[in-house]
Amino acid sequence: MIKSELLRMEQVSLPGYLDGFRLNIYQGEVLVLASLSGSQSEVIADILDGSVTPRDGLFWLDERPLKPREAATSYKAQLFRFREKSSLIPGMSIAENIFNIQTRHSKKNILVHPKENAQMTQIILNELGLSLHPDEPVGRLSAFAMHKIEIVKAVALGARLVIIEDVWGGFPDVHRSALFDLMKKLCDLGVAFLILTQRHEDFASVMDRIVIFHNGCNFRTLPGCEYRAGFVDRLLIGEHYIPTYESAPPDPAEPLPTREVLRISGLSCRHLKDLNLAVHVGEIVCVLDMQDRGQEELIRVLTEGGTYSGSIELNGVPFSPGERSGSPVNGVGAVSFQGGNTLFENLTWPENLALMSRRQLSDKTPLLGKGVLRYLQSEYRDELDGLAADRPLALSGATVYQRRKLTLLKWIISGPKLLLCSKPCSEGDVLLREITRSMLRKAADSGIAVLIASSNPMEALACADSIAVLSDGRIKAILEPAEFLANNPDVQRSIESVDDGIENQY
Amino acid sequence: MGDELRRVKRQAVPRGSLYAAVLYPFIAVLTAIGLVACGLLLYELFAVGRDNAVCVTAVCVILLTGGLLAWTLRLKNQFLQLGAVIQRVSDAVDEISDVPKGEHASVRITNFATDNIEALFDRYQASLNREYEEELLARQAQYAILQSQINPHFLYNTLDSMRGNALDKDVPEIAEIAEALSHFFRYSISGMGDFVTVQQELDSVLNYLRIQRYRFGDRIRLVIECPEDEITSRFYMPKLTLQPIVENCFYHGFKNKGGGTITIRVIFTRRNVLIQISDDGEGMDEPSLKRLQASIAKETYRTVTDGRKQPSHGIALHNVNQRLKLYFGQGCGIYISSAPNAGTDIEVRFPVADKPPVWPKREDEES
Repeated sequence: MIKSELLRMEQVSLPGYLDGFRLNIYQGEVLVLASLSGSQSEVIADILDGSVTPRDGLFWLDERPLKPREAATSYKAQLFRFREKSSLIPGMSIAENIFNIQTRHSKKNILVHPKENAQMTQIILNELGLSLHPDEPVGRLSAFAMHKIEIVKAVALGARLVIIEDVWGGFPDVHRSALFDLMKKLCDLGVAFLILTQRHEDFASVMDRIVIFHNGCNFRTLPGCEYRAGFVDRLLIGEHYIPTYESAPPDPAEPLPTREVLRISGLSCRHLKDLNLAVHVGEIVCVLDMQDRGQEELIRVLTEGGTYSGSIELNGVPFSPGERSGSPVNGVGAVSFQGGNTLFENLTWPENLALMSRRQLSDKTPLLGKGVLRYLQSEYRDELDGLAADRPLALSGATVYQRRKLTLLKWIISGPKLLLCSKPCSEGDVLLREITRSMLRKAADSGIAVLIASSNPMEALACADSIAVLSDGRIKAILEPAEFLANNPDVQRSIESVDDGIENQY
Repeated sequence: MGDELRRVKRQAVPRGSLYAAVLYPFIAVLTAIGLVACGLLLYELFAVGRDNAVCVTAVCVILLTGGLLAWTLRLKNQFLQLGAVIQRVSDAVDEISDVPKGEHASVRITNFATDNIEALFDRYQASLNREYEEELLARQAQYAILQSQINPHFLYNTLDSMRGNALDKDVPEIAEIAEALSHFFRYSISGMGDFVTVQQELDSVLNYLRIQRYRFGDRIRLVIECPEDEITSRFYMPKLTLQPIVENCFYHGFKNKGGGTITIRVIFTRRNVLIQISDDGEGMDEPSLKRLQASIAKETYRTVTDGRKQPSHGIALHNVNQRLKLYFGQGCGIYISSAPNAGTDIEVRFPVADKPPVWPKREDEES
């Protein structure tokens, strides 16, 4: 079979970002570029869409050499970059979003009638097996449906290469699978996909090739059939691997207290029906809804309140969630991981921590003094690796991993009774997820009850002591990880593929 | 080269022996007069008195100044002549730097002469080094030619006899290795031309693996993923491109590991052929990879640097890379990526050719 090489770059250098990087993409191919968090791999997409000019490099398009100056313009005309923020206009219908934008690019389509637009859109949607109505306003669609429309729009605009950065991390497996099916259909039509990701295992089923990007250059390139998640993780982590925290074995002489921290009885709201759940001291419970609905609503109710029926008790006392429920005052910590972190960029790391820990630390040491720093450093030595007490840097100098540690730590040091986390491991690379898992485990071992909301079974298995499986708003079963795996052979297979390599190597 | 330099060159034309015959006595006479005047001055001061001292001093100064002026003119002319000579030598050797403008003529000329003498020495030294290296390479090539003059048919016949004897004595392993060696030498030495089909090259790699299996046993696995035979048999590639790379996998990837898997993937595009040779061997760390990439990218492989020998694994890859670049130009060649303890990928890229490319003849060959 003879392939068509859509795009090729050789010896691309950009000081501080790329050093002799090379990339080639064939038509109809899904190429995954796997990297670690903070590796700045997005600069490759920036180069392709012309927003960054590399210092050196050789470029080809359709196997014809390009001058470096014309490369950006030529590539830009061929690609569509999929960003986290949708480019769709919520007030317009699907057909308008797809075709009206095209009329700006091509004068021929100015006279196309709206009905014809709708008909053409319907044909495309049918062809791609998408059960959506062309006249439906985009604003009413779910995030998942909007992503599908965005891909369709890209192809309608004539894009031959669609660049997707890590935007589907929070989607449940079922939605990701649907998006992958759509990608495969478009690949058959000759569209290529370049996926820049830190969660390569999410794309295992769809990738044709994977390039491991490390330190600004290619490490290895593997075909999809040879992909092993553990091997790729090992390549990516390399010398950055850190030992993870594991709980000490239980001491029979001193059994852990089994006091209930949270008790939810008969909770019902929009997506939840008659929910009963208890979380104990030192326990991590994960509420898993693979339809990605109920678990988020539970966290929302516990942090913001809203309309619900049923009762909630915190430490045996009735608890009425309100706007400020998720705060140290109530003994409830609500950690947010979505969309980066919740740190203040203009403050130093001790200042960020002190914002939450003021109440707890003020009676021990003067705030923001050297005593506080020393206290934090001695208590949280592992969590604060690399952050020096004598030179508290502004956050701009901190790595992605240090930021994640600070995000969690600022809640942990406030000493909450209950810590609520929504999708803690849905973003970031394997190292970031391991840091999160270790810190949650350590927090639980220190006596904090942790409630995790997730739509990803792997995330639940990695973190939780027990998994409450939600289905259609009801708790179907509360299982230990081993029981959950026994009931889900597909998940078991996925786990084995991820573990292959990384367990053996380290 | 600017107008200023041309003017300097015109002025620097040698004036001949008459010029020298007039100038040297003139300077000598002026200097002698100056010395005599100094003597008279001393005599006037200490013996006669101080009345005529001012006059005598003035005469001395004028004479000495005249002498020095004449000497300076002479020096200037010598610089000009030296500059012209350097200019001619530099023109002959290599391009020359422009004379800096905006300075006084004498300063300009002095700087010009100094710079160019240094440059000339550097070039001379580089030329000597190059000559030495060329001589060394020529000797190596001559040695290789002498080695290859061993009658190859004698080698083939001996190996075939070995195979026959091994089969007679029921030692199939020896028969197989003798056959593989015979095929290997026929392919490597015989005059099949510089280009073979992709299929022939892949077959030769398989044959090479049969030989290596004798040493490594079943610890080596070779996986070849390529399109159907009719495509690989239709297109051509330079002979002995893959074998040196596969050999590198054995000697560097599996040296300490004792075995592994080599995967060869052949991809045909509309204009190019891409062959990726991957091994799951030891790989290399980033500094080693950078060094290797730099060494294969050089136009000439330096056999000796700072008195230390370069690592030998760069030579074969450098050779393959340079041959591909010579045949097909930039954009073709080999590209390496590797990770420590995680294997190496080497990608070979060259244009598709459905007939053996004709290598352009050099002028001396045509004549």
